Amino acid sequence: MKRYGLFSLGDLNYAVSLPLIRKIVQDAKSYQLPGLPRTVAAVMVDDSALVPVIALNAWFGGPACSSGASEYRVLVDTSCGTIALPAEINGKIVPERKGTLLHREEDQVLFVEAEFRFQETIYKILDMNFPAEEMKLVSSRINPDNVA
Amino acid sequence: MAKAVEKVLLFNLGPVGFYIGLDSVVEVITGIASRLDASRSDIGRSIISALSFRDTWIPCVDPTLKLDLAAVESMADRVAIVLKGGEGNWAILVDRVGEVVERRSLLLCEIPALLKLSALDRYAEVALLEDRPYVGFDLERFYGACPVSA
Repeated sequence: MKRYGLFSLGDLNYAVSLPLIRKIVQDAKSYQLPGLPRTVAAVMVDDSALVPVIALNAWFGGPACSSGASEYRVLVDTSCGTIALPAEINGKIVPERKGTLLHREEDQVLFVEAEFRFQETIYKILDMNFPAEEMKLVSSRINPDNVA
Repeated sequence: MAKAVEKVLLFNLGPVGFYIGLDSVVEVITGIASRLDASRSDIGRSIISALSFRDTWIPCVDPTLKLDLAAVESMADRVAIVLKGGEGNWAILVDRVGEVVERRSLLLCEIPALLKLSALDRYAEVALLEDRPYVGFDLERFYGACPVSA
C-alpha cells in the first residue's frame, strides 16, 4: 500500500513518498554557512550530522528566504544524502487510495514527479532526485566540459 | 613531558560561527576604529585597511568579502584578531570573538554533498560544538602577511 506524507508551506502543498521520509523534527535550529547555494536556505543538525534545509519556495519561483519560519522539518533520504524540507504544523500521512494520482503535466517543473489530489487540495509529489539534478546543473556551470 | 592540549578560538562573521587554531593567534584587539588606515587597502586581496599594531602597520583583511557574508557589527565595533603569518603578522576583522575551547571538544562532520561545490572556495572543514556547526577558518585561503612600514 503506497502512502504519502502531505505537507504545506505557505501556498505550497507538497507530498513525499512515505518510505523516503526518515523522520519529522519539530523546532530544529537552523544555521547559516558561507556561500549556501540558492536552493539551500540553511543547515540543521541531526544525529551529529549536517542536513541541508531546502529553500522550497525558491524551487517553485518564490522568495528563497521563508523556509526558516516553518515549525517542522521533514527529513528525507535522497541520492545526495539526507535533506530537510520545511513544513508547517498541519502535515498528514495518507494512503494513495484515499486520493487521486494525477500525472505530471508537460509544463510542470522537472522536480515534481506527479500530483496527488486529496480532499480538494492538490499536492505536488516531489521527485527526490531533484537535489542531485541541481548539483549536476551547478557542476556543469562550473565545469562546462564535464557535463554528464 | 605531557603533550600540550590543542585549543581553538571561536569567533563570528555575520551569522556564521568559525574556529581557528589558537597557536595562530597573536592578539585580539577591540576598539580598533582609531587604529585603521583605509588608504592602505587592496580590496582585490580583501585587505580593507592597515592596522596599527606594535609600532608597525599590518594588513587587515575582511573575510566576509571572500566568504559572501555580511558583517553585523559596524566597523567601530568589530574586533581584530592578529594572526601569525609566513612573512609577519596580519589581522582579520570579525564581528565577535567567542571562547577558547579544546580542539578535541569539536566533532568534525562531513560537509553534505549538496554543499560541497559551494564550499570549494570558502572552507574545507565543519565541526560541531554542542550541536552547533562551526566552520574551520582556513588561513591559507586568505592573505598571508606582509608588514607595512609605518
